[in-house]
Amino acid sequence: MKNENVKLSFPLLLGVFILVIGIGISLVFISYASNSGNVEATVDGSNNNNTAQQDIRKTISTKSSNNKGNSRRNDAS
Amino acid sequence: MKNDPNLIRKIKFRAIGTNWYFEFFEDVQIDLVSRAKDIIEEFEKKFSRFIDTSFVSQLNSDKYFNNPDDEFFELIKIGKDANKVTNGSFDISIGGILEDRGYDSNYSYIPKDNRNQVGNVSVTKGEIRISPNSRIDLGGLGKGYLVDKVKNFFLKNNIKYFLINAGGDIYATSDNKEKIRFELESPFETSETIGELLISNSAIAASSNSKRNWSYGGTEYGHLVQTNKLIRNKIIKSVYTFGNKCLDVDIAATCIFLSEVGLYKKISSYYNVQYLILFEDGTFTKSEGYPAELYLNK
Repeated sequence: MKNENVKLSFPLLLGVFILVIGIGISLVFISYASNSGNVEATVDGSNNNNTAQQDIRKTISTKSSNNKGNSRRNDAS
Repeated sequence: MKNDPNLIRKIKFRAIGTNWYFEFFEDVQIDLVSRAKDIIEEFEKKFSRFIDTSFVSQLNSDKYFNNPDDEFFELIKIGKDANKVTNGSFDISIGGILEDRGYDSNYSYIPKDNRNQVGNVSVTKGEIRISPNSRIDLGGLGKGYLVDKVKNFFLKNNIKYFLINAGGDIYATSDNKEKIRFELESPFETSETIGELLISNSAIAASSNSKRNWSYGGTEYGHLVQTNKLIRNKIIKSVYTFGNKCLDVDIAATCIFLSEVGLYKKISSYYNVQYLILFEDGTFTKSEGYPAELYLNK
């Protein structure tokens, strides 16, 4: 009786192990796919543990200024 | 109704090497504006390294300065604090290196021999002392400090609704309690803007080498000089900051521009500012609380 239990549980454990690995790989792919839109984990080579910082892969666009030369411009002069 | 010549709403003028704007959303006595300009002029006379008789020039010449007044003491202390926060990347003893590069009192933009370097700055109530081969430059913090000073002068004189813009170092209260809209100038093309933000009772600033830069003998120079070797994969084009005090946003923008990646959060926390960093490839990173609406490529 005892030996039969052992025989039954080994294929069961193997099946569970394969299932867990499969789910893990799937999660990695899902995570990669969801992040590849516009946010990447690190920019600039950092080990970014700053959760308050957003690193954006999208690039900045520009529009013509309505305020060239007046007081409402945040420039770096 | 005839306009009162003693009242003013808007003025543009040039001081400490940059354009200044005062814009008032109420009528203001012109005499008060003149007194505000006097504050700026007095500050420049004391702390510009381009004026031979200034405190800073005396310190740069003698390498020591006895009995600094409270303001000089405070400015040097602020500079030393920033040096510590940035692990040495921000350094007020950079003045000599800037002059060697040609950013001198004549604005010659002709590099000379590399005679100067950054060095130790010590400060007590009794004396400021600097290293023999270094010179002080307060460019990374002076404008922000001065904008706060002028802001406090206006508030003390019961002017409620105004903005001050000193070459992009900006403080704004409100337009009769309405937020004021500002554009973020593109460092790639200055006639363009990369986004906009609405602020009230807040300060904004920007740091970039896209202005105050020059080339000589095929070498490019800028007024922001990195003295530390940095770990970076991307070149920063501009840093924009948002916070409560103009000093904080001014110095934090320069500190971030000059520092390595791992320090951005520390600098942001120390000065209580939010930031946007725009890289040369057009990508960007920002702290979660940076309030601008940015224009993005789809």
